[in-house]
Order: sequence, then C-alpha cells, then structure tokens
Amino acid sequence: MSPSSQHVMSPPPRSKIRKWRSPYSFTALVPVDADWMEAIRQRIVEEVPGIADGVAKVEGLHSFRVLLVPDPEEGAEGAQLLLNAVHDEPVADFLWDLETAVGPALVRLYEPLSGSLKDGQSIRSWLADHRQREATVHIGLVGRTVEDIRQERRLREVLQGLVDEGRAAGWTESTPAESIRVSLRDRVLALDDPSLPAGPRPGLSLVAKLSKAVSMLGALANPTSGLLAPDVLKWVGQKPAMTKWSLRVLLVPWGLYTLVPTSLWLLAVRLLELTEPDDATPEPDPQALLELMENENERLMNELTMCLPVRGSWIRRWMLHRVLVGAQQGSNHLWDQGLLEGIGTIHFARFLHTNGRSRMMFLSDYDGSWDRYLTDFLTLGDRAVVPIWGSCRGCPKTRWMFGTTAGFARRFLALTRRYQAPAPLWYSAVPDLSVSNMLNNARIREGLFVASMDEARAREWCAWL
Amino acid sequence: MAFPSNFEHGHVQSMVLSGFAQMPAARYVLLDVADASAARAGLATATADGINFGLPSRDAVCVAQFALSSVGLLALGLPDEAVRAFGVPFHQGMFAEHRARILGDRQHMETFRAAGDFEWRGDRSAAVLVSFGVDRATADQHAEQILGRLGAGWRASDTRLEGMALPESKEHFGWRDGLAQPRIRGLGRSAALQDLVEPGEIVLGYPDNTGAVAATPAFDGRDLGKNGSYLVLRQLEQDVRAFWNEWLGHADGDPEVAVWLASKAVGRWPNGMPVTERARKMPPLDPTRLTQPLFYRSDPEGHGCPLGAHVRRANPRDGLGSDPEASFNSSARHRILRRGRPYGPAAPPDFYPEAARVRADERGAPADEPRGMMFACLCADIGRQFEFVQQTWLNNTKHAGLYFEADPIADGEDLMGDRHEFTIPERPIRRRLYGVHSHVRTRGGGYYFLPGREALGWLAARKLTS
Repeated sequence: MSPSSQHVMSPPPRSKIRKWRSPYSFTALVPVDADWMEAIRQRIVEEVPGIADGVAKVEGLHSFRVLLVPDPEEGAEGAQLLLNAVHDEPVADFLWDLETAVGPALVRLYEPLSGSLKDGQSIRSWLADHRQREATVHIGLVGRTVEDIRQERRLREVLQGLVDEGRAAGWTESTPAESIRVSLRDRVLALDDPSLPAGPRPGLSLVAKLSKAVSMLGALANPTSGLLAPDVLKWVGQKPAMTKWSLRVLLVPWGLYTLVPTSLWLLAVRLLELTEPDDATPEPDPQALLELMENENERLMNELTMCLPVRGSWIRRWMLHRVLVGAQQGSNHLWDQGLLEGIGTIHFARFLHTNGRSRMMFLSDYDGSWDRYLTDFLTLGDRAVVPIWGSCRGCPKTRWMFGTTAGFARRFLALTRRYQAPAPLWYSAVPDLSVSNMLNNARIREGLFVASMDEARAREWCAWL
Repeated sequence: MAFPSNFEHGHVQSMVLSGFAQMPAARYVLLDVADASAARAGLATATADGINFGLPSRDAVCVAQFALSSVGLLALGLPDEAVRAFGVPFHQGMFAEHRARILGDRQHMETFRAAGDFEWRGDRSAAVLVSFGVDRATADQHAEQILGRLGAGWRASDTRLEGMALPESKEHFGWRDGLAQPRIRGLGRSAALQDLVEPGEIVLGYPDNTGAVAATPAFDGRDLGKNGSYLVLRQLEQDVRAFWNEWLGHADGDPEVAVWLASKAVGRWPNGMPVTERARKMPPLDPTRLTQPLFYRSDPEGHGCPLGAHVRRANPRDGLGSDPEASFNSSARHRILRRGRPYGPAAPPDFYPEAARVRADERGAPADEPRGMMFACLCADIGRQFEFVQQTWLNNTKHAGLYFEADPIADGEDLMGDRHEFTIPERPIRRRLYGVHSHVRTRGGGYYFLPGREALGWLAARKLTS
C-alpha cells in the first residue's frame, strides 16, 4: 500500500446503526518474534510522538494505547504488539478514521511485522485481520460519546458561572430550587452555544431496547448465572418498592433453574482449589517496578495493561472463559451505572483470553493511583476480581471461588505488578474528568432539560451542581 | 478488653502504645553514624538501658525512642537487599521523585532547592532519637543522657528539632487536635468500634484487619520487623497570619464568617465540636460529643461536614461509595496512629479571629518565630497507609466525586487538576470558594523504622558485612 493512496479513496458510507451498548473496543494483537523485538522497540520510540498527535484528532476516540506486551513466561510464545482503542464509531468507520489520521505512522510501526503490506492491503484492513475480540468489556459511562462528555463538561462549567452569579444576585435559602433550575435552563438555552447540549441525550431506539432485553434474557438463561445471584439481588434492591417485589417474585423460577448448575460449578471450583498446587507468586523485578512507578501519578487518570498465564488445566481455562462471559453479562446489565461491583473509578476495562486460552490480558483506564485502584479490587470489587485472577497461575488460592485466603492481598499485588507492562503511548480524550465527574455531568444535563420537577427533585438536582 | 494473647507489647517501643499526653515536650535529634562499630556498641548500651519499650508507667517524666532510616540500616552493616525488604517507600525515602509526587511535595522541594533552605531530610540522616518529657528541659536533658549512652559512634546533627504541645491541645491555626485516632485492640480505654484496629495495622508481625500477617523484613534468619513499626516524620510549617488572612478574605473581613468557613474546611469547629448544617457560630464545648463518631452516611451530601473537608478526607470512614460497611472496611486499611507535637510558640493574638485564638505559654507569642506541626505517625505499611491517605484522600482533587479541589488545609502544591476550589454544600444550592490555598509547607521529613527490642539488639550486636 502506498500510504498516500488511502487519502484519495472516498470514505465508505457510515453506519447508522446505534447499538444499545457503546462505546466499542477494538484490539489488534500481533505476535513479535524474538528477532524483531529490538526493531519494534525502536519503531515504537520513533513513531509514538507522531501517532500520539494524530490520534488526538480522531473524532469519537475515548482511549488509545500501543505497547509491547511481553510473554508472561519468557521465551514460551513470544511477545505481542498490542493496539487498543475505545471508540464511538463502528469498527470499520473507526479504522478508516484512524488510518486517515495516522496511517503512514502505523505502516512504519508495523512494517517489520507486516512486510510491506503488499497486494494493496491497507493498514486498516491489516489491523482488522489481526483483531482479537475481547471476552469482557466494562464501560464506566455506557452510551456516552466523546462529544457528549465534552459538551456536558462545558455545560457544567457554564452552569458553575451562572450559579455564582445567581448567588451574588440574591438567591437565598428560601428561593425555590425549581425556579433556580428553570432560570438556569432558560439562560443556557439563551446562550445558543453550539458547544453546549441543547437538550437531553436521545434515548435508545425501540430496536435497541428490544436488543437489550433479549441480551438480558440470554444472560438469565446461562445455567450458572446463579453465581451472580448476590449481585442480581443487590441490583433488584435498588429498584422502587413495587418493581423490587415484582422482580423478586419473577426471579424465583430463575433461582430454581440455576440452583443445581451453580452449585455443581462451585463444587467443581472447590475441588480444583483443594487439588491444584499453590503456585509460587512471582515477584516483580525491582528495577521494572521502579520504572512502572515513575511513570504513574503524573496524570489524574492512569492505565494498566497486563498479561498473565492461566492455570494449566483445560478445565480451568474453560472455566475462566465462562467466568469472563458471566462478567460481560454482569457488566451489560448489573454494573452499567458507573460502578463495577462498587468500584467507581473505571472508565474502561477489557479482558482478553488469548493464545489458546492460556493467557489473560487485562487493560484498564482508571482514575487515581494504582494503589487505590488495586485496593478497590481487594475490597469493594473483590467479587468481580477474585474469581478472574484466581484462575491465573501465581495467584494465591481462592476459597469457593469468591473468598480469599490469608496473605492474598500481598501476593495479588505482587502478581499484578509482575505482569504489568507500561504503555509508551496512551491517550485519553478527557483526561481531566473522573468517572464520577462524567456521571454527574450527565445527570446534570438530563435534569436540566426536564420540563418540570417537584421541589424535592429540583433540590436534589441543585445539589449536583 | 485485653491485647491479643500473642502481642508482645513489652517488646514494642513505647510510642506505639502511648501518645504520652503527660509529656507535652519532645526533642528530635537527627543522627549520623560516625563509626559503625562504636555506633553498634552504643546502640547495644542504649537498648539495654535508655530506649523505652512497653507501656510507660503513669509517673514517667521522660521517654526515649530510637528509629533508623534506610541509610542507618545500611550504615549498621545491613546489606542493600535486606534494606529493600523494608519496602520500596522506606528504601527510597520521602524525597525520591516518585514519593515526593505522591505526597505533593515536589513543588516544595523545588522551592527549597532554589532557596537552599531545606531544613532536613530523613534520607540524609541515619537515625532519629526522640525524647519526650514533661517539659522542654526534661526532654532536652533526657536526649543528652541517651546520646551519652549511644556514644561517639553516633554524631548528632546541628539541626534542632523540637515539639511542644500548645495549651488546650490546639494546633497553631487554632483547632483542637488529635481527636480521632485508631486504637490498637486491647489498648487503653474503650474506643468506638470503627476506631479499633488489629495490632498488625500498626505493628509488624501480627494479624492485620484482614486476619493476614504481612511478611516482615528478615535477614540472616532473623526477623527484623517483628514488634517494629514505621515512623513517618514531617516538619510542617504553618503560616498562621496568611491562613487567617485568607479566610477573612473569603468572608469579606467578617471574623465570625471567617471562623465558620474555615471550620467547614477543617470539618470541625476550633473547639473540636462537629460542624453541622445549621450552626454558623461555634457551639459551646460538649466533651461527650467530641469523641462521638461522625456517621457520614447521615450526612451523605456534606451539608454538615463538606465532602472535601480536611477531617473527612483524612478519614472518610463510611463515606466512600454507596456501601457504608465496605467503606468502613476499606478505610480501616488506611488508618495511621498520629504522635505529632506542634513546634514553635503560639502566634500573636491579632493573627486570629477571637474564637480561634491559641493561648500563649511561657514562650510568649512572637510574630516571627517559625511554627508548625512536627507530624509523626506510625503504621505497618508506609505505602498502604500514610502515602495512601496523603495521595488518594488529601491530595486527590477527585475525592468523593469532587472536581478540582484538594484538601483546603494541608494539600500539596501544584497538584494535578487542583483549581483551588472548595465547595460547601448548602440549600438550595452550594457555595463554592475560589483561590483556596493551603498555608502548610513541608520543611523536612523522613521515613524511619522503629524496631522492636530484639531487632534493635540484634542490629547492635551483629558484625558488619563487608
């Protein structure tokens, strides 16, 4: 392919279909032979600045990273060059945009691995050929595009100024909250500013809603979905009283349906826990650990990428596959309001089950420090994390899949550090906002454009400002 | 309530077990190793007679404690790989680039480098001797006595560091201090359930709150960590005049409003009473309410104690996320035992609004004397406890769903995303202050290890490695 030829081609028609769950994740994994390691390292150094500048111009791109992921068992199967993006557009459209923005640099980056992309193959098509599907994708803000997030950030900033003006102009404790909300809405609309949202975000289409409902039924039909029973009950408990009781009644048949398979599953896991050897946890290399730490905490957001070996038996690998399917179903329907099992700092988390299910990759974009994030894994989010890590070699033993054993935390942290790989290129579209900030901005927007509210709701809305 | 049966409290240095309320004065002597062999001999003498272990008697008038930095452990002959086993933060020291970034000290370091007036650095001293006394003279004399026992192998630094509690247990800005502390299970008077911690949260070699016993640093078959604790020292200078000028500015010069706003920022009134939604004036002191736990779930939006207030950040208790129980469990993993003392005399009365004034003691209230807090805390894991609190709660501009505001009282300088805002939730709509700056500067500090009796004795007795 001639890098310039792509620019003269006309873009393909854009997809109009809006799925019920977005944004989307795209991952390309390319094996790197030992002979090519140094060449690829050098290309990364050379091309990262140009790619970093270019991807910032790709519309609808939330997150992007490129890194060399070493094999967790050195020399066994070789390293892989990983490219991951989280994007609003369907994959074909995203790859077109990516190629338009940084195609030549990507061609040079991959050249030692791709040959010279003969036969006119484009880099986007070559990347698509190397796509590796994620087993699980968790999204902090489901359905929000980069444009939404930026507009809502701007809206909150404008409202901040208007609130300060209103207070100075004499809003008092007795001023009705609803009159404040309405006056703010009128002033925002009067600005007629294209960088601000002009109304609430459109809801899902009927087709998308139906698709979501079918997906939920499919999740419930999973015979071992009973593993998520505590999470389902917690989710139901957050519903209004009438809905809550109706759902509980409806869930009784599901509970009976899943009881036996789930119990058998737990017994099988327990059997494995009792019979598998307790593999030693590999310690992180001190120098590599220092380098990782030096690269952290310069930003409000951080990234984590790691590749772990999965325990050896086929049944463990199959079980991890099923656990990741369950985690996806949980993320789709239970943890879709910003919290992953109580952890509220994850923008995006992706799990890949690769290399014949002998490897598990974890990619995450999160707020705050590594220590805080991993502490959350062990406290608030242990139900989601422990069953997944527990299938990996070197992880301390679990108890009945979700429980931990003495000393679990220290070994878990060491294991995570040991297999973590730094990303020399990592981009975030909105690096200054936390998940909680984005969620708050979204509800400020939705509330602002409601036609009318009672005073209690309006007070609640005002508290979000 | 008794200590867990296997807790060897008689082998733990005394400051782990007591805050020495009856000994308000403290002297901190930074030490270098002049001669390793003589230093070990002196340490053996001082360990046998001088350094205090276990609970001090009620009528004790002075106590001495001894802690080593990573430099000190190396100087006593421990090889580097053994010192690394004490953990990355301890090995690197407080002033390593990454650690300074975590602590929000980087800007301070730049400033001090430029001005050349950094007071002291723990990673440039081998040890610190802390002498507590009923008064300054006693603390000084006791320090000299112990230095005599340590002998010529140790060289005392010229930097004079001391602490002295202020009247009414206040710190220099005018707030009653030390009200919320974790308590080791079995130690002293009863504490609220959420303030109880297992010994392993503070002392190495024992089960922590999760029931696990963390690996302790060891060398040559010896457990060097058992009965030890990490000691974090930080000299935090407080600019009292600038602090109150700032809050008076936010209050348009009204002293009553300034005290109210500053109390919202601290999270308590100067007399220690909790801030509430309605009260705009400091309520009278009610000692029964001072130790009453603050249940943040009853104040989820921070209408009483703002989400970004100093005390709420320093110990969020049940206020992290939507699950109070999980929040308690999570917060409990990051408790630290504070053992600090203010240093310097009280500021002149005209620096303060009347409600916050600090009474002068025999030192008077000179305007230009340096003053602040000689912060000291004990923990079993510097990274998980002290640094976590500093980085994830105090210096985090996104804490508790906030946007661009770090701790209004003691944040670091130039933190990422800090626009120096402070939000006070009100009805119907919040008050937000802009340009809120901390008036606390780090002037020195260090990470030390406070060994247990046996480890100290072993370090003193063993021969140097090559």
